Formats: sequence, structure tokens, C-alpha cells
Amino acid sequence: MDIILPCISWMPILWGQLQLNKTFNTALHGDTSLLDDNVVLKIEPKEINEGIVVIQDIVSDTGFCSENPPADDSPLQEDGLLLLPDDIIIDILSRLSAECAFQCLRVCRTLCAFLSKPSFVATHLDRGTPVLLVQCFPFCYLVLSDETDHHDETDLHAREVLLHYIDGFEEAVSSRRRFRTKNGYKPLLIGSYNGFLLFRNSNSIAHWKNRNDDTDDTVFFIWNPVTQEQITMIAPDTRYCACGLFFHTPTREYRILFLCLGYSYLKYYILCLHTKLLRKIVSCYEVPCFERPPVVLNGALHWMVSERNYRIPPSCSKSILLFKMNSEDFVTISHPGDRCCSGERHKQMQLLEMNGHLCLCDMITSTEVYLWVLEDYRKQVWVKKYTVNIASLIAKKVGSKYFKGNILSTIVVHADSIATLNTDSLISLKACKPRIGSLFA
Amino acid sequence: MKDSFNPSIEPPKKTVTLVSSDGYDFEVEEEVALESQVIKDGFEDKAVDDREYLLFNVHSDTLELIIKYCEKHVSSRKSISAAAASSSSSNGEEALKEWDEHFISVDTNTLYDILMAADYLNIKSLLDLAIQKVADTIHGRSPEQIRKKFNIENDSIIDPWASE
Repeated sequence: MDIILPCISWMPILWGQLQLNKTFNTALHGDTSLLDDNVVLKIEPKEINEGIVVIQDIVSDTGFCSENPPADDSPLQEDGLLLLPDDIIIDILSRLSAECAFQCLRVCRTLCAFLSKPSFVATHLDRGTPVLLVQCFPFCYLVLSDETDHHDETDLHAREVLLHYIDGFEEAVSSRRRFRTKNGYKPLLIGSYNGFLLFRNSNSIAHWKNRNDDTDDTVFFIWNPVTQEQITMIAPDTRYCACGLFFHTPTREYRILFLCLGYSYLKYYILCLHTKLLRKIVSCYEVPCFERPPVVLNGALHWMVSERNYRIPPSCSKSILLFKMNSEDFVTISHPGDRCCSGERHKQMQLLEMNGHLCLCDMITSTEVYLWVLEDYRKQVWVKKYTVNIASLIAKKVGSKYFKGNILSTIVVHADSIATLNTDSLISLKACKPRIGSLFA
Repeated sequence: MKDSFNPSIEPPKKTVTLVSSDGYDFEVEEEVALESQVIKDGFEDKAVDDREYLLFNVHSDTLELIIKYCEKHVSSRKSISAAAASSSSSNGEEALKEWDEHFISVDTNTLYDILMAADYLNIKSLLDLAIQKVADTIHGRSPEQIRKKFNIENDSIIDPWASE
């Protein structure tokens, strides 16, 4: 049985909206990033001709806003809503869910103009609370994979991807997404940015059956869970691997970082989604460990350096790879603690974000975890903040039936909780006290 | 004279006069008026006998509501901190939230007036409350309903959803 580790990312979703929609296979609510419809348009001019079309999709998919209008209906006299000061209008709009904000685009031009302002998008994004997203692979995947929905003329299958959205580790909401992909392939979540999800079409199952089959693993998807929009990209050949999705602020467009890995070379490319140009960037000799999505923090993507693809002996001073989003160059920094120069040790480390700082989680044993926090970027000052004894924390399973295995694989720190994502279950370890400091104290 | 009858009476509280746009005077306690950041900002510089504020943008009906809100908040803040000091359990904050909820459940025009006044006087908590209320009002309505509710003219160039 081929087991694939679930992939975790943060995404800003307004949780309250999400909860309203617990039924499966419908749209999720409240993602904020897409309110900048300019950005949406930039992604794929071929598929999306006009902003209007994008919005229509959203409305027809959700239909949520028109439900249950409140009873009180006395209209406002004379002075309209639009005479309010600008910052108040933006404040009001930023409290709406993404769907409702989209609805407001249709109200009038003035509101439409407000909703397109970058300042509005920024306010709206700030208001969103991050939500943990976990992709789940049913145990019975292989069994089902031959029987799912043969409904397409071109031998494509609707591949269902199950995602769990978890907020505060209290509750998980599931959502399904169907991707059209060839049999045996399935989309694997490899990253997220501003609520967009980046998937790689993984061939790990086809690989069993017929590994020389075709080149479907050059296919990447970007999916917006709120609007259900999907963009498909096809890389030139199988050596290209997407590592991360990011927003390039100077040009205001989304870009994807590709790694092109051959037997004797290593190249990085950037795909601009607006211009659809693929260009080579300054090289870097480290390979990111892209099985896990990068930690997005301080304008950079962070990975542990992969030991697997690496021919040179592991170097502690170059064990963490940073990709700066705006300048598009790479920096390597050293991991905290003693120099070990051991690939095995490096594999026990993983990066995460904690209260706006880069945090390195060193799983020294299966029950004890060290959490290091990077206090000063420039001087690379790591502080060993916490030692967590996993066994002593209160464990609470959030969702269990979709994971297999028994290795402590991933740790996530979220508000006052710490969660470990074992391969057999997602366990939420809830703090007894409200502060994260007290949890680890 | 009064004092001689009741020696235990508290000294009279300092007051501030707020004058509404339609010319009504409202005498309120100093700390109630200080809920407004605008009043608070220039307060110390003003002479004690000149503590009168002309609020050209606030109608008396609205001002009455605003004063009610500020009085409630000042008094409940006191009772909450008193409860905290005596470490007795209190649900003061929840009760206040409920009160706020009830307070802001007004018709659209009043809400609009409160919103404008809260912005003018810079009363942050009230502004927040009113903005949230407007957002709640928008939520769950179709564009047509929003236009009707807020008296907005439909000037969208094309309405691709016209068939809906």
C-alpha cells in the first residue's frame, strides 16, 4: 500500500462562514484573497475572459447570499450608504464574507470600485482567520480508483480530493473537490497562498501500474476553494516540479516557483501566471524538501533543504532554504542547535510558523519535541523556546479514519493548541490554559 | 443649603453640555462625554466653565441615543471592574454585549444616524457596533435587496445576472 503523507497548509478563511456550509461538495465561504478580482483575472486569461464571468461562477455555485433575507426591510431614506466616509464603507465591506462582497459588486459602480481597491483587499485579508487545511487520502483509495465516475469523453476521470478544514482544532469541516485527471493520477496538495491551493498531479498510483504511461504529472492545478475556480498548468516536461505559489507584490501577480531537477543539473524557474512566461532565475544548489509546503513568512518561502536528492554531504549551515518572494532570490540559513552534519538528523526537523516567527520543530524522539524560534533573521539567532512532551498533552482526535500508519509526522502550532499529524490520525493536543506560553511552560 | 439637609450626599459631578444640531442642550457627566475621543482630545485645554460642545452634525434624537450608550458603557465598566476587584464572578461583559445587541437593533435610518454620529464623535466601540450591524444587514441579501435597503441607484453598466 502506497501511503502518502497528508499535506498541511494554512489558509485564511473566515471560519464562521465555513461553518454555515457543512454539507459536502459545496463551495466554501469566506476566503478573502479573491476579492481582488484583478488578481483573479491575471491568472488565466484563456479561461477567464472577463471579471464578470468569474463572479458569475461564484454566485451560481454558492447561491448562499440570497437565502433567508432578514425580515426588517425599511429602506434607508435619502442619504444612501454611499455617502458614508470611505474608511467606514471599507470597514463594512471587509466584514462581509467573500461571497457577499462579490454580490455587492453587482449593487452599483461605487461599491464595485470600493471592492476593487487594494486597501479593501488588505483589510479583508487581515480580518480572515487562518484555518488549517489537511488533505486526506482514504484508505480505500486504490480500490475505488478504478470505479470513480467515468463520465468524460476523453478518458478523464473526476478525481475526488477530500480536504479537511480545521479551525482551532475544535472541529473539522470536510470538503470535496473533483479534478479531472487521468486514471491513476491524483492531485496532491503542495502549497497554499492567500487561500489559493496549489496541487500537483501525483502519479504515485499510476507508477505502480505503468510508470512510463504518460506525462500527466506535469500537470498542476491552482484551485480557489471559495469560488471553485480552477486553473490548470502544464509544465514543459516531467523534470519540472512546482515548489511554491506566491504573490509578487511589485507586479501584483501570482507566480509559481518551479524546480527543474535533472541528473546533473538543478535549475529554478518562475512561471508568471499573468504573462504565462516561464523564465530561469538565479540558481541555487540546494533542493527544497517540497514534500511539505513551504512556510510563508516575512515575504519569503521557507523549506528544509532536502537530503534525498542531494549528492554533496549535508551541511548544517545550509539546512534551511529561503526564497524571497519580491527579489526572487535564494538564501540559506543554518538550523539551530549543535552542528550534526547528519542527513538523518535533518530529516527529523521541520519548519513551521509560530506567532509570526519561523519555528523549527526538532523531533528528537517520538515523544519529545524541541521548538526553536528564529528571533533575529539577520543574525540568525535561534532560541530554544519549548520542550514539549507530546505524551503529557491532552490529545483529541479530530478526524481519524482517513490516515494510516503510526509515525509522528507533522506538528502544527495553532493559537493555543499544538497538533500532531500522525499518519494514522490527526490528533489535536489542546492546551489546558489559553496561552501558548503556558502550554509549553 | 442642600448639604445641610443631607451631609452624606456626594459632591456634584462635573458636567459637560452637548448641544445638538437642532439646538437642544444635553447636560452629561464628564466621564460620559469623554467616551468620545473627539471631546477627550481637546478636553484638558478647555476652561472648566467653557465645557460646552456644539455638535453640528448630530440631531437631538441621535444624541439622546448616543448619550444613553455612553452612560451604559461607563456604568457597566465600573461595575465590571468592581466585580473583578472583589473577585466575585460576574457576567457583566456578556450582559453588556446583550445590551449592545438590543441597543443597535434599530431601523436603518437610525442606524445610519448612529453610525455617522459615532464616526463624528469618534466613539470607537459604538462605531464598531454600528458597522458590524450594517454588515450584518447586508449579509444575506441579494444586490436588488441591498439597493432597495440602502436606497442605491442601479448604475451597473451591464447586469449579467439580469435573467436571474
